[in-house]
Amino acid sequence: MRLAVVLSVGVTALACAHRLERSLVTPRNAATLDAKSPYLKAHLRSGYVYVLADWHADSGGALIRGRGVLLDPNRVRVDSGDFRFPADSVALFETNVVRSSGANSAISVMAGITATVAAICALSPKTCFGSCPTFYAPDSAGESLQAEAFSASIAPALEATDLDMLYRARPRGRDFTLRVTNEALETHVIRFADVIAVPRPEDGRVFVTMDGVFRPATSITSPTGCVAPEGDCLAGVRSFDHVERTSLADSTDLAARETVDLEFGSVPAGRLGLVIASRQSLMTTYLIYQTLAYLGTQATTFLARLETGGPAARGFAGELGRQLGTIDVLVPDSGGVWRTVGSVGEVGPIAVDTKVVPLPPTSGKPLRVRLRLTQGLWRLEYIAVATLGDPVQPMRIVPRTVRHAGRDDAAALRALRGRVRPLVTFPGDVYEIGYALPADYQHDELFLEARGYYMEWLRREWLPEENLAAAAQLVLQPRAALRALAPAYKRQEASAEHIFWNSRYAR
Amino acid sequence: MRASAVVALGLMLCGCAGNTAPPGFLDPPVVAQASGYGGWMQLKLANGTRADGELIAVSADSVWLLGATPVAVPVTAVKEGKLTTVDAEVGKVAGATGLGVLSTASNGLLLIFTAPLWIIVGTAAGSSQSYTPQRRVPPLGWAELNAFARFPQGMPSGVSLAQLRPKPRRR
Repeated sequence: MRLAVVLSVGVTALACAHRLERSLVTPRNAATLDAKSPYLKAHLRSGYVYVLADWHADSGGALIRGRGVLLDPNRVRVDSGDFRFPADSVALFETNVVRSSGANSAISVMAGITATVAAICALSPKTCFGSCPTFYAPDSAGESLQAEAFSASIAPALEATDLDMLYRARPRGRDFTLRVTNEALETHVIRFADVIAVPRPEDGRVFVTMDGVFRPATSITSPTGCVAPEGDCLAGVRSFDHVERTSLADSTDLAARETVDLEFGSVPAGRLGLVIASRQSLMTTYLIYQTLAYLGTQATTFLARLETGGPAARGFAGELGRQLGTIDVLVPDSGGVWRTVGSVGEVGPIAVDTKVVPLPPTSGKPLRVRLRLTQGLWRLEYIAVATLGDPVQPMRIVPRTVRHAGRDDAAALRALRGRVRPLVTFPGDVYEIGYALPADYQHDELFLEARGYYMEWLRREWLPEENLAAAAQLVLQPRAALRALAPAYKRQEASAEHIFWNSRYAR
Repeated sequence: MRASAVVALGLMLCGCAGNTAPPGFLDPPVVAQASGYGGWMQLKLANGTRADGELIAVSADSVWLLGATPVAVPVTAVKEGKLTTVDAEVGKVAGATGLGVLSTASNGLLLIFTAPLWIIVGTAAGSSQSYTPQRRVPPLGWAELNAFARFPQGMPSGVSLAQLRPKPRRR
């Protein structure tokens, strides 16, 4: 921040370009000479010229006085000192005023913008960056961001496999391309990225459970009622339309829970499942970055210990996430007591994740379902109830081509197919991964299964916040840490989304 | 360094105004306000030749230049003229732009917006600045250039163009 201020001042000072406004005045109008001109030049008919500083026009412009030099036609000094002469002995007077150039205004505006952005990033560095491998797939309108892979895997020790439904994918033929990007200051390590194809039922979809079981779903029915602490929330969840039900975090405890009560007036027959499409807010991103900021120069040591510390170390590291929790699904038992029957929730603020939670048999109408979730952590895109069929076997499709920087990349293809050496990507990288879909691709549901991890690049802006005691609290006493961090998070919660989406890194 | 190179390249490509004045001839505006010399004039003559030099004097019918060869040219023989009055100080704008691009390092990833914006705005500002000290005939009339001649009052009687000494160069 200090650097930005210094550079801004330097830029403004350096940009001090000028323009010269020169005026000629006849002796008769000497009274109108521009007094702002620091020098007065009096051009004589002989070609000599007085160049005067501290000049003055007396007696209504009839008499000129000043201190300076007299130059001959070759501009050699022939006299100097105090001069006094009548105006009418002069052929022409010349005044000059130096003004700031218009270019300075443009440079000053840019310096102001740079300093303002620097201030924003300094005040809220935890929201200025962020991602993980993001996957774009063709949809009905062109292409859209449809999955983010292994968002919680911020270290090699946390490498994980992630299964995401490509809900909006619309292949235009058997050749299907996913575009994977690295849009942050991160190193992404991708072991594999396979497409999973599952036969879709007539008039239905296929959803996957949190434990990776693919269930065909028919009679997909939106809720008829939705009540949350803010009131009616049906508009946010009744369709997959980018309109989400969101809430703000609690100002005293980031782990504070809330409930959302759903009602389905029309209940399909058979075994039911609750479809939930959701993504996180930026709270998790903030907490990950805050942890790294508190670790400061010790961050790499800490991440290395995750590697060598075994399951216990990884358990400690995961406790913060467990405190934040997932979206719990509850239904009332015969006595009317709410019982948890499952949960969903994948880390990541970018792509909507769609999962299904099988529900226990119920005879009640209307069907009532309650969601319990951390306040301000989840964005609910779509909720529905559906009739679930028996689990179905998926077909795995490995990449057939990989293109990078406009060329086929055989090494990247070997990495994604061979699973020996991973594909490693850096900020701004874009890879196009091609797949050959089955002949009956129009009747398949597509998913992406990817495995890997990513490593955040430590930011200079984070280092001043190094506080190992606070870092230890986040790891060892996450509940207390989530209360302590609530005020800081709330201060930037409203603007975090705008800053985050404007800070994507792309070449 | 890389940013400065980009800015310099941008300024070269953007169509900045140029002139044939020898290095060190043109004074910056702050110096020019106390200088007794004229600006640098370039003439394209009707016969296809060119002439340039310090603008000594100009009237409605003649232009006097002190270049490699002192010349007095009737304006009827001139197709067009370009006067550069002072040093445009484009280097200051380019330097500020280069520093501005470097300063976007403080913008985190938002520099992907602010750095190109600096280059675009800086290049445009530099280009605009390069034209600030120029006066062209046409559209101006010849008499309108006299403010930046060594003798704005016209060629003094008794002064021979051949006897005038050229302006010493700044180092």
